[in-house]
Amino acid sequence: MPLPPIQKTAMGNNVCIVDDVTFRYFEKSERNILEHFSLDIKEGETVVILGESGCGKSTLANIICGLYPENGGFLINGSVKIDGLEIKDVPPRERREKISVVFQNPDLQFCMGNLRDELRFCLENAAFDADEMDSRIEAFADAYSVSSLLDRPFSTLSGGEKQKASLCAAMILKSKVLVLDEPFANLDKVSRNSFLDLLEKKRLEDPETTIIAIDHKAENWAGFTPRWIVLGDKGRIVSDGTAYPSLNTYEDYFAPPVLHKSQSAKPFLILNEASIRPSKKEKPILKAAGLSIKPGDMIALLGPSGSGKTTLFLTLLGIKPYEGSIIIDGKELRQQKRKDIYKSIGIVFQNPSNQFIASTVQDEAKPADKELLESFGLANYSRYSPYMLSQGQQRKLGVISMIAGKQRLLLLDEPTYGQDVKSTASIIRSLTERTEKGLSVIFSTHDEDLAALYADRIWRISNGRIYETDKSIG
Amino acid sequence: MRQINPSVKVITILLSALIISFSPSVFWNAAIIAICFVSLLVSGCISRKVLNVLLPATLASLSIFMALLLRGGSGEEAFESSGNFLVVSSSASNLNDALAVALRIYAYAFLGMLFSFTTDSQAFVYSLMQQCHLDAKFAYGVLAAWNLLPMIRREYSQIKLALAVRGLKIRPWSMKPLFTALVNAMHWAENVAMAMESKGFDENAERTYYLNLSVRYYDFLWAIFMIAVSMAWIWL
Repeated sequence: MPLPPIQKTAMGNNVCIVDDVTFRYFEKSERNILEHFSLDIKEGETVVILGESGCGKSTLANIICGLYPENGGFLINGSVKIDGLEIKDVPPRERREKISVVFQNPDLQFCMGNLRDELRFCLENAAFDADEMDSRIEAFADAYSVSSLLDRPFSTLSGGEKQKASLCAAMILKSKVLVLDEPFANLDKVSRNSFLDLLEKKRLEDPETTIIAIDHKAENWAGFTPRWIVLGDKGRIVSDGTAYPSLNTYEDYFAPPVLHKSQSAKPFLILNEASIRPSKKEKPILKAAGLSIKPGDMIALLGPSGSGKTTLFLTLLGIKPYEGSIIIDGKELRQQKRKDIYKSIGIVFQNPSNQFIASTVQDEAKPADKELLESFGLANYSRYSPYMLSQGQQRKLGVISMIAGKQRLLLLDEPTYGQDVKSTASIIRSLTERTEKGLSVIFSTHDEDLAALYADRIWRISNGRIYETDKSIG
Repeated sequence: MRQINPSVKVITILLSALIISFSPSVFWNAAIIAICFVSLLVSGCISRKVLNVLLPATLASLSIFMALLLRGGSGEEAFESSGNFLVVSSSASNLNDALAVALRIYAYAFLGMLFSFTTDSQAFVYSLMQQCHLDAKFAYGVLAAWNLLPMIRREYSQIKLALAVRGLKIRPWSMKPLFTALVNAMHWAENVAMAMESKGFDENAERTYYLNLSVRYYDFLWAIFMIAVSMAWIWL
């Protein structure tokens, strides 16, 4: 449904004009990702585009940047103008002066080994004079206080630092439009705020810079008082305005929390004065005392990035060394064979596609019955290749393959990674059926709200200790 | 050694290696080793890394040395028992030849170290673009892949773990984790390419280089010297 074009006002020129865009990934497919989508954005505006996974918001970002359809998909109809020029007519080098982008995955954005080299790479692309590069980079780093990031290898930076580095690379050439495609997908609050501070500095420095941010959580951008645009299916604009969007990220999606049961059961897992270390050579990073898991427990593990959530999971699988005592099913963990541990504990990693071993969904899910596939909404895909599923479906399949056997504890490592709340919620909701039958679940997350709403109990990591917190305090 | 143009360095070293593979001279092979050693020493590159390379090299050269030596010693018998005159006569049959071949392996190791320990990977790629007119798309692609290596390594061990948890037996030669890693690598390549393009990388447009490398007189001097030493056995 085409929307009436927004009238230009005297306030500023439209720097980005998306006009009647229809886009699909496969030329012959019926499924349009965006349908007759139009949007005007003025110079100096900060726009936050919100929507669920799969509504086409990331696709929109790539179309605005001119990366699509050049690198994938088909633009059936419409055009995108940036700063008065059709983006498809601008060669990449000149495009850079108009628009830059920060992508979602912090690991896949760099060509060089550290930020200094990456910034040089950007300047080289713009055919900058080699003698002026260093002074330009120093001045930039001083202005934005990022000197400490310049020379550290990217492989040693945290996710949050990488995203900041990526923002620096996007800012160094002062493009007119900055596009941020879910930059906080897997960052904790501290990293997020540090990124936003940097962006705020940019806004003060260059008020004419236009910022277009794509996200699925409005809360991330509340401090910026932006123009909010909420997208529905196929890029339909649901609302557009400066009022904080009323869409409630949670209540729409969640069934009321399930109250739990089976308090008398014997604990399946007991952590007793256990200290956990990432490897034999390193010092313990986590201490846990007096924690236990009973059959049917749904536990959220909260803690900032790098605090050891994944390490704890690997320890429970018998892969990392530990001191003290961890008792699983009545036996000390270190005395059990890994093969046997894997039979009773399952884990779904951040990237579920790493775990696939079969060529169809059906084989992958074995020995799961049809009912289990159905309860996760995958029954119709049983003949598909696991790699053809969406990220959310892949995670569901990962979960199914991990609980199909006789597993009694399921570990979910950052199930929200790269996904919106709805998709994670649907996994957890499907799991509650299983927890009633005695399966225990621990999921690690940065998302306090998700934890508060869905977990029976919350484990929190801070200052190298894991402790249980009262749910009501949060 | 770090001052030598990387393209000149790699071509010279490859040529040297090619030439000494025909060399029967113990002395000149030893000379190459000595020159490389001194160059590494002067560039401050002698460290544990050298031992890590020399250990397998020693094993290889020792085994070849022993094989050739024993073969030489029992030449008569071999001749009588095998009856194949060509095999016996063409194989090295004295200490000198065995030593030359063994030292040649060392010389290869040292030439390799001379290049890899004194050359910055980034400077090497820049030089390939500027001196050898390597395609910028290819060159930066290689650089990006090189910089992704730590991540690929991490990912690979994660994949192995993920599969092990599924109950799959993972051995060092298992193909399954490689396949999964390949699928991931294809996704990554796409992402990194888009990120590079969004940073204004344009293979067709003019670009500047932060490092401007050129070939100077001492590059030639060094190249001629190395080639001369490698070829000396022909005349001397």
